[in-house]
Amino acid sequence: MANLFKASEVVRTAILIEENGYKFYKTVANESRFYELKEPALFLSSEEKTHLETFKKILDNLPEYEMTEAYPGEYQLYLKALADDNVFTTPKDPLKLTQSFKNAKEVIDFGIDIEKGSIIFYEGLKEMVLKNELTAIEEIIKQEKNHLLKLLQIKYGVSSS
Amino acid sequence: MLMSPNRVKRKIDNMIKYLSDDEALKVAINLEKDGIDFYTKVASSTVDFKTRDVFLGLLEDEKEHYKLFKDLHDSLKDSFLRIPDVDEEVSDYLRALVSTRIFDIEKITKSFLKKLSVINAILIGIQAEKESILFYTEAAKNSENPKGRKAFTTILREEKKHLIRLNQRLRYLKRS
Repeated sequence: MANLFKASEVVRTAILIEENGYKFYKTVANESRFYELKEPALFLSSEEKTHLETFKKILDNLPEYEMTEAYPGEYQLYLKALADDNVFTTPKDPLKLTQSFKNAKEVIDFGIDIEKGSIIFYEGLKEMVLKNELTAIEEIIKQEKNHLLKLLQIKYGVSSS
Repeated sequence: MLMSPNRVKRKIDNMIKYLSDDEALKVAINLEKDGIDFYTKVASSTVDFKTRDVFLGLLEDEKEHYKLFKDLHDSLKDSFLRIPDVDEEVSDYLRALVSTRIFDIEKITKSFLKKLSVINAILIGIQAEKESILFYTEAAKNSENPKGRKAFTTILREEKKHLIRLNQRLRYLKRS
């Protein structure tokens, strides 16, 4: 079927999301004027970098196969819709992005949104990788969920200061 | 100064009073209620009639989802659909999903609708569908009740289709 999302493209999209997420958090840590975000952003950037390496390995091991599904095309269309909506699947200048936020709360809300975008995309991606790669994806999803909780905790800390 | 984790947890607990035992189902009912409200509003204010048809179709689906969850909740009143509260990680994450929802139906006022473009209306719809998908994914995985699992799984699949429909409309409008 033409114009569908191939398994390798989906994993490449995950790599793009992690790459841009890593650059974003690294820039927040190094360049943002909101110093309270430095330490958590450093932590998040290092985790996203590890995820990036994991997805690269998954891409290397990805078999060439046709995805089977009850309604052909639906699954790929769903992942495509998620990819289209994900802010990090198109190139972003991390510095401009970081400087565009008016306050720390805006940075955190943006972070929460990208973590949610990652979780939902990787949940979809799970269906296309080899069984022995599932544990790695599950671990990444678990860490992204923890990122969400960490950002939520900082959000209330920031709001109360 | 950052709040202590315990204080944060208390704050979230106070903010979301409705997440334990059968509460996943109550959240689902509220998500669908918000969806009905949103699609009713945007369907009546959208001038592009093809997009309005999409919104109306989604509205009918959300009404069915609402009924399904409501009926299930009523039928399970005593046995309650249970998401194990022993698993604090799951519970914390579900709470976080609900408390960080970007989609807020309260903000969809008449004056807001007047200024809302068709594309932005679709983008809000996409955001709301994504939030529902995240919640139902987790609820389907963790629900102990077979009827609940089945309901969450069925609706999860339908919400994914909604996302596809909205995305297709968005792509079409952006091209034209």
